Order: sequence, then C-alpha cells, then structure tokens
Amino acid sequence: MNCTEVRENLPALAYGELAATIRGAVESHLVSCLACRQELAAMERIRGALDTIVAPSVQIDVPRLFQDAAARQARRVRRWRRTALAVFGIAASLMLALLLRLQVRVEANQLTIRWAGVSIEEKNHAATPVERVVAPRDPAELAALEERVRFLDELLHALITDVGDRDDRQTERVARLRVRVEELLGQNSRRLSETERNVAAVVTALSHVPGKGEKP
Amino acid sequence: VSPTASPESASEQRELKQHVAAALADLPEPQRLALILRHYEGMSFEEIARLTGTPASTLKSRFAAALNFLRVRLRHLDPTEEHRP
Repeated sequence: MNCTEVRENLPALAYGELAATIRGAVESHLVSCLACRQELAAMERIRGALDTIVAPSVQIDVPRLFQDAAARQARRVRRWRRTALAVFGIAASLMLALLLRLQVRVEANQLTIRWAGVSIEEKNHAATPVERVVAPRDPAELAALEERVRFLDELLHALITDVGDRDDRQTERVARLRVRVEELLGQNSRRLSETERNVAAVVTALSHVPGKGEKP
Repeated sequence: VSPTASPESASEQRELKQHVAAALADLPEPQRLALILRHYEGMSFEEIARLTGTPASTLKSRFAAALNFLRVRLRHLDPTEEHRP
C-alpha cells in the first residue's frame, strides 16, 4: 500500500471503521512511514480540537435528511412496481395473443389445430395455398373466448388493486416510522439541552465554591 | 483539561472553541455535512452514505478535505504544526 492509499483510509482508521483486511496493511505502512504517521497525528489533533465544542453552532437538518432518504426509497419502490406491472402487462398480452391466434376447429372427419393460420395438416401439402381463418366462426367458441378475455381482465384488475393496497400499507408504515424518528430526534435534542443545562449549573455551582487553600 | 488549569489555558481553550466554531461555519456545505454527521452525530461513513445517497468513498474524501481545511485554519493555534509557506 502506498502513501496515497493509506491517507485515503486514515479517516476510517481514526474512527475504528476500517475493515480488518485493510487495517493490517495501513497499520504496517504507518510503522514504516514517518510522513503518514505525522499525517495521522495531525488528524488526531484536529479531532481533539473538534472535541472542545459539544455540538457545532452550525446545525444540520437531520430530520430532513431522513425524509429525503425515505423519499428516495419510495421512488425506488415505485420504479420497481412500475417495472413489475409492465412485465405483468406484457405477459398478459402474450397470453391473450396466444389465445386469439391458437385456433381449434372440429369438422366432420378431422380436428384442425391452427397457429396463426398455419395448420399442422397443411404442412404436408406445401403447394396447397394456405386457408386463412381470421376468427372462430362458431358463436359458442366466440363466447368462450370472450369469457376468457373477461376473466383475464378481471384478474389483471384484481392484481393491480392488490399492488395498490400493498403500496398504501407500505406508505403508512413509512409515515409511522418517520414520525417515530422525529420523536426520537426531538427527545435526543431535549436530553442534550437538559444535559447542557445541568453541566452549566454544575459549573456555576463549582465556580462559587471557594477552594480549600483559598481565602474567602 | 487538567483540574489545575491556569487562567491562560482556560482563555486559550475559549479561543480554540471560537476558532473551531468559526472554521466549521466556513466549511463548504458538503464537507461540513460529512464532518458533523461523522464526528458529532457519531454516524459511520456507511450510514451517512445510506442517509445522503452519496458514496462512502466520496464522504471519506470530503471528511479528509474538511480536516485539512480545519488544520490550515487552526495552524496558528497548534504549536506542533510546522509553519509551511
């Protein structure tokens, strides 16, 4: 590992976040490299300086960050749902096409199964012109087909409703979690200000008590 | 801070606090975010990455840049730091 790579990893090392696999390499480099050791020491001094203040006066809007993260997650879920619906739609269309193009015809002495107008029977007589059957002629067959299309349509709608319900439940859950996070953050800041008040009170009390060696 | 801290070191401490707060306020926003969430909020770089949607490697670079910024700004208060031109 060279100095550049080591220095990229120093922040994570300083906070004990470095993966054990890299830590060994970084630490062995530090043993042999004075410049990188000095860099780490300087970083530690800056961290010490940061510790002189409890919390910076410049605040970060953490609840807003959580909200943004939740919004990003929601967008990802929506994208996934749209893809799933699109895939389902394509599958349904293919099934419909299959049902419409597959033709089964029962005649006096033969059973003809056709796929897009090319029958198995006709394959034996390549020279014979292909007879095209556009739609089933039998009204009963037509009704059965319509029934199947209706069924598929209902199925599709039921699935869409189900996906919608799940989405609503998920949204509610996210909203509840968000409220909880905000509560916790509120509690946290209340506790912090309470601690700060207590510390201030203790400091004030101590500064008013004269030391043993001091004269009143 | 030792219990027998002299008034000078107390005033030095106050001065350091003021400089740290001022330097933090001057940090560019992305660097300040990385620094405050890591150092003061105690979040790991991975957690910050999930929260902000920024890669952890970018956050580490921003954090290092923030520390370098502070190091330059606080150099005059650090007796161990070399005074480079």
